[in-house]
Amino acid sequence: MRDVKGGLDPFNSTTGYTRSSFTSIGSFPNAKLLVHCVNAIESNDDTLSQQILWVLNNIAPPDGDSNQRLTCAFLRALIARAAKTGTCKLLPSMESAHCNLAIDTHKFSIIELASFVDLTPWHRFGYTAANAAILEAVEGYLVIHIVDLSLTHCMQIPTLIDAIANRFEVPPLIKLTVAGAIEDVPPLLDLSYEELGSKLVNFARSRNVIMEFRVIPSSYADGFSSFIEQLRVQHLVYAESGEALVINCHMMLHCIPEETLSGIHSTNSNAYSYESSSISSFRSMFLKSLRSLDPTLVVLVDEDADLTSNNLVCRLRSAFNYLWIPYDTVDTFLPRGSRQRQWYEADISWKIENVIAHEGMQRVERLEPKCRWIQRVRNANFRGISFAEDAISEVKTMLDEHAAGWGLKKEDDDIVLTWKGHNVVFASAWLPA
Amino acid sequence: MKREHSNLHPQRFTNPFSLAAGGYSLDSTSTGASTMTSNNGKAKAWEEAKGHQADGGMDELLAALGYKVRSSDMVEVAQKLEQLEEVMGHAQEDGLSHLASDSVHYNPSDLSTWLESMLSELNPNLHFDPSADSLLAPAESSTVTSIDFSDHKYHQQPKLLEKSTSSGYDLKVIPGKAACSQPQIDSRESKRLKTDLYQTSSSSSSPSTTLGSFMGSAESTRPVVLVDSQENGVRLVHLLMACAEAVQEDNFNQAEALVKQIGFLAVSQAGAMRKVATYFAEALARRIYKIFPQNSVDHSLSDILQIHFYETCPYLKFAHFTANQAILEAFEGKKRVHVIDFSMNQGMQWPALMQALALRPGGPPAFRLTGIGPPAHDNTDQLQEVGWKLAQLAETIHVEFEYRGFVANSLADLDASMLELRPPEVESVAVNSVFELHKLLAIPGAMKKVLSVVKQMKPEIVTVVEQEANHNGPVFLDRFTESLHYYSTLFDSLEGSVSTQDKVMSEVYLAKQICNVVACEGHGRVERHETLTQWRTRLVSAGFAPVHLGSNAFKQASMLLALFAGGDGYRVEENNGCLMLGWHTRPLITTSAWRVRNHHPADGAA
Repeated sequence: MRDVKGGLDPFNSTTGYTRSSFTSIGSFPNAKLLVHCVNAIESNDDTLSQQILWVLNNIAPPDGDSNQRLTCAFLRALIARAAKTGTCKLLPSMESAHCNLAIDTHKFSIIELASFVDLTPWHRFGYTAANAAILEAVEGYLVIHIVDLSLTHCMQIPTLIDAIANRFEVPPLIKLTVAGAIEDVPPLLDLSYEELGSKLVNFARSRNVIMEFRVIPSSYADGFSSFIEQLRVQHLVYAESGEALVINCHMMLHCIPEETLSGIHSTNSNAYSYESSSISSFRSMFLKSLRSLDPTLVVLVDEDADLTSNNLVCRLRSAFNYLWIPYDTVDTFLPRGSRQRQWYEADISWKIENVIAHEGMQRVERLEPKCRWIQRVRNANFRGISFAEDAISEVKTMLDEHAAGWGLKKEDDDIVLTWKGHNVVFASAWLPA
Repeated sequence: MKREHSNLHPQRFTNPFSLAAGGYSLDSTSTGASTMTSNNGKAKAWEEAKGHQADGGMDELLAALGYKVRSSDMVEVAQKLEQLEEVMGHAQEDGLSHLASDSVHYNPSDLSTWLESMLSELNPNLHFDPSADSLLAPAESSTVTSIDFSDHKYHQQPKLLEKSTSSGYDLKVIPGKAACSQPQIDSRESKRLKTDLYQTSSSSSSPSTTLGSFMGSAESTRPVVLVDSQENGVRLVHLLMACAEAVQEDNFNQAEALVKQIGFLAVSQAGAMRKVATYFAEALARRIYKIFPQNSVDHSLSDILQIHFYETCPYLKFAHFTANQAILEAFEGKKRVHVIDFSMNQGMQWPALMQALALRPGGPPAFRLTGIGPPAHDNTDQLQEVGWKLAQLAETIHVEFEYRGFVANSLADLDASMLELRPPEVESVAVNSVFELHKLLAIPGAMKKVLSVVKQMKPEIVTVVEQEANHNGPVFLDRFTESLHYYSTLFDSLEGSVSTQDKVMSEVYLAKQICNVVACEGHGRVERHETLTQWRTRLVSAGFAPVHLGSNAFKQASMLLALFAGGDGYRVEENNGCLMLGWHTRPLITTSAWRVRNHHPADGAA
């Protein structure tokens, strides 16, 4: 079932990001036109921008095929960008011009969100792999402290509780600490974390598992430094007490600023500090502070793409090269016109707009490729561990429930979810070195 | 002296704004008190008013001239001009010093110098002596019309291509800004050249005194600058109207006296107001002195001016986007398509359409383009050059492309048989005309002929863009008033543009129209703009049926405007399936789409 080739292959994935390969993307004219549009907008060439926007408008209907909808989402993002920068001073008249740029991101109820993440392996892949790794690592502990840094609002936890209840005769005490991020990144939840927590506690009780739930208000803008600080100050982590500490990072760390957004030296946003390797980012600092907690296990799951470039054209190419996947897959699990599909695509649109139209701290979709994350975690003095055979077979079983295009790839210690052979999400497990 | 003023408008007397802000003597006297309640009273009151102001010596000039105006028109124009002036007043903090320093300049920037020289080289009569006599005897200069503009164009060609290829972007193949930066240098050279040729025929070696020549020397105009400019704004409109009326009555002595006064007053104004007044004064002067522009020689200049107009403001872009939208939709699913363009110019409309066709779902059609344009005065084949560039674009974006350029003095010379049309089931035809059809109204029978030729083309769609105004009424004064309104609004909208160079060029582009509307008659008067209502009647009775431009076209036009127009004064509005672009409340251009009524099977037999 793996490595099904074909479908959209907008860029030759082997070409890298050099200027020369860039001109060869003519095979994918929509992307090429988007790039032209970016160049026109960035150089304030209003006439050309208008012409290309007109063309794009006509070739990318919002209700077209997956390729057209993808282009449409990028187009909207470009319009949003043009509306904020360049010569446009006219956001109010944009609204009067019936071009509502606001993306209608849905606020999910818990049930909706749970069934939503079940539709596709996008999140389930990481859940399954992480839960298997966690179960193995916490064997024998009476108290398990799970720090859940996840964008999907603890949707992973019920399955984990279930597995713990089934696996251990005397279930351990579970302490669940979540980062109540103040920023709104989709998917959005329609209830508070306190309410969510009590539901989770009730669910655990129904499985005869005792669970404590705690929310620590935090922000990824500062690399969760206040979050880590609170863990220490409130003495929530006892490295020597025989309590297992699991840090579960599910697609949230890419929101932490990295080097291209030098928050540490933020007085001049243009002074990107690549020149000195001694200057570290919030991202690396966060991993180092995690290491200082001496956790039993760190699981890192994230999307495998590079959306960090400060060059908008590079970012657009990269985003296009990655985000065609959710549009391509959606036909396999959601019918056209369904509300869930609207929610799903609105969330991708949000992501595209964030990557394309925003800059600075507002741009939180700062995905880094797997190789860079691995380097970072290693630099923070962790060592990677392999996923066990039954973890992998569980992931395979899960993938069998989904469309044929999904695949699993093992790369060194890590595993990678693929769609038609393209990397989608990676999962990795780490121990203090 | 006739004094019937059936058109006096009560508003003139009751509008407190014009009373207060204008401070004009006509208003400030007892007329305000005798506010008109009946039509009978108006004329009388008007006479009284004139008497008063004459008695009081408030405006001896006007009184002495005994001019009559249609104040209903004046009020609006005056208000418009006041608004313009206000806008400009804010923009230019150093208004007075600015005015003083260049008060005799015809145009508001130093660019005016070379621009004028360009114009005058093509129309040497423009360079006249301060005295009217020399204006009336321009014979010695009339032979000097051979400025080689095309030569410059020719030389700049390689650069255009170089730029377009190096930019790496397909749509850029047709020069936009690229074409514009070039002529500046060229024209400076040509100016020098021209001046040499010219010195014998014109005593005025300064190219900036076109208006100044009406008024005398620069020094003599300066005191006027110090007069309150708002008051002068209203007076200016009065003078323009009075002058037009004198022209209408063939009272050329009076008209001449008035047009000189307009020159005086115009320089005391700022911004758009001064420019509009100046251009209208120039046009009136041409009419008075019977010095008519020669349209036939300056197509290449027109093209360049049009490119700047395209860049400066959204009107032409709007025209292209909306027409293309209708064409694209009409071509949906067609395998071979053929656009017959009555307004080819630099072909600026087509790259976007070709790009959209190239990427349309289901693959691109074979695209055929027939571009029709006037002959170039130097026998260069400009239409071919444009076609060649479009062919390059077509190759880049993998569209099968076929092109023919047709040189025609008038669209009326065209026959369907020349176009080698294929049967409609093989090839779908769109006929496109942007700012062209109104010119046919100058030639008796031409419109009828062209519309019947269009029908023979069996088009899927006909797209028409026209100025939204009636500048073709039978009465000169009506045309004058209408166009004064119209171009005041247009110039107002231009004030927001960023590039001074583009703006000046656009103003010259429009000034040529003003000149044509006001100064020309008969076959020479080609800017015979008519309103959508008039076009609708004409086209419907010629057997065409309207095609609604979709809401998609409206949304897109609105969006593109909002993004790039650079000012919130522009408005798109829908009018019975047609789209209008205007400035504030005034629609200025209209795009409409048509099909042949009995061509469409859905329509049944007709």
